[in-house]
Amino acid sequence: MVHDVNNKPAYDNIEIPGQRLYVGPASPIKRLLAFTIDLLIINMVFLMPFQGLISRIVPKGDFFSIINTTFSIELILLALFIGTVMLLYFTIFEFFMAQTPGKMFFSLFVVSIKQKDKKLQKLSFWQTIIRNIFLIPVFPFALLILIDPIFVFFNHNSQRLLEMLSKTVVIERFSYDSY
Amino acid sequence: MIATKKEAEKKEPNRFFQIIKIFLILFVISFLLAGCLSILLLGSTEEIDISDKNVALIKIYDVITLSGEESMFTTTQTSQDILDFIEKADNTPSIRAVVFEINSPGGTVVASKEVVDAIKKSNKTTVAWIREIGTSGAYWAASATDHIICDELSIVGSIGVYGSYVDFGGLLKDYNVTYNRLIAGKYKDLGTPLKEMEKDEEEIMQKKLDLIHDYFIRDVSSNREMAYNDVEKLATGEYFLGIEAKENGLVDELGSYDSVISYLSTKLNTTDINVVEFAKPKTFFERLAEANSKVGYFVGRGIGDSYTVEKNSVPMLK
Repeated sequence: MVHDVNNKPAYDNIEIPGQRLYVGPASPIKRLLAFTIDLLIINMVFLMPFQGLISRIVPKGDFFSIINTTFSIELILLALFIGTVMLLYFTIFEFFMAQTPGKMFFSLFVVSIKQKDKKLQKLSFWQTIIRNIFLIPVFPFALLILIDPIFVFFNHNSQRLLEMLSKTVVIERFSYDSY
Repeated sequence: MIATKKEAEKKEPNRFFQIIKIFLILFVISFLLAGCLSILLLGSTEEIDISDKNVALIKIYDVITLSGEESMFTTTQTSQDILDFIEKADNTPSIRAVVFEINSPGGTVVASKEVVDAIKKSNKTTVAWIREIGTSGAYWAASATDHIICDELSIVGSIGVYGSYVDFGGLLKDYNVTYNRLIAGKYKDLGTPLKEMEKDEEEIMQKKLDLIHDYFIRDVSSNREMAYNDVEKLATGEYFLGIEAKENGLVDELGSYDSVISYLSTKLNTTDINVVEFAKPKTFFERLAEANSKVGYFVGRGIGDSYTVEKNSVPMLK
């Protein structure tokens, strides 16, 4: 045992930092980075295996045949395929785990806000669908890609428009040292 | 209340295995979706071995146009499709003859002419087999072949041109709608349906149609080795039944598919006739569009065609 000059245990009066837990709205930058990681995962795991199929569909037309209805139908179906995969990815992960793999990197969680008691709760399935519906690449949902993220900067909870509608919020949770 | 540490660990699901499970589910779903996509869009792309085939069958169905006017429910054949097949037949050494199975009311001027020129350039024996209808631009294409066969009751001929359209000028006046004519070049809005046609404009339009008609007649007379005057007498736009067409020299033979095979056997000096159809692999949507197009065509042909022509103000061989 270490003693000080007064023969008291030397560590009695030492102040050491305490562990504090921060839980609050997630930073938009972290959310953007998490989303980017998720897109990379979707591309590498779910789309690259089907690259052969996609390349057989896409080069069937050139710039001028884009106006050809048949080729447009093919592009729309391809876009729907990719959009469906993305929607399912985000929906299933957020419903079962409250996080996508990208969000796990940054300790971000998706939770539901109940208006009455403001308690953070697990998401319902419809909430996950609504908050991710902008991923469907057809009109009118595709318009939300532009409008939806703007609301993050005008909201104290950093919520997108669809998050406000679905009553969900992305929070980050991390512990830090503090005196 | 959690009793032991082990029970606590059991209650907390292993996140890693959860992630793996979700990835597997998503992969299976995307695999199924990709399968549906390939069935819907790609159709059959298997290359058939045609080295033992000596006759190519190319269908000229529906209205012949330059660009496909396809929707979910209708389809039209483009002249480029036919040109591609003719080129493929020309470049296939085993193919010695090409049969054009025609069931078309005609098409636009340039699209029809492109098909005619391609048939003339072909280095193979060509036969036109007219089924239900082979008129106007479709007949023009048939005339370019070496031999025309049709049924006794096929509809053939209709050597003529029209550029008719509906004049909405009066209707606009009734509803107090004004057409503000701002043009540079006196005849820039020639053929617009928004105003009544002037006499001089009508003369110009008629002159263009007469030129196209004259070209049509000359080409058919050259193809069929008939005198210009003889073809001109038939080129009133009237269509003929197969029996009449045989009498006036517009077709060579009355018959069916067997007649085609018989002719080819004689011409190619072989009894071993192996036919292969040159066609684009059809996707699900193209099959659906083709089925609907056939129904729509027979029900609404007259109204639909005249509306389409008037809207575009494009002279048509009809």
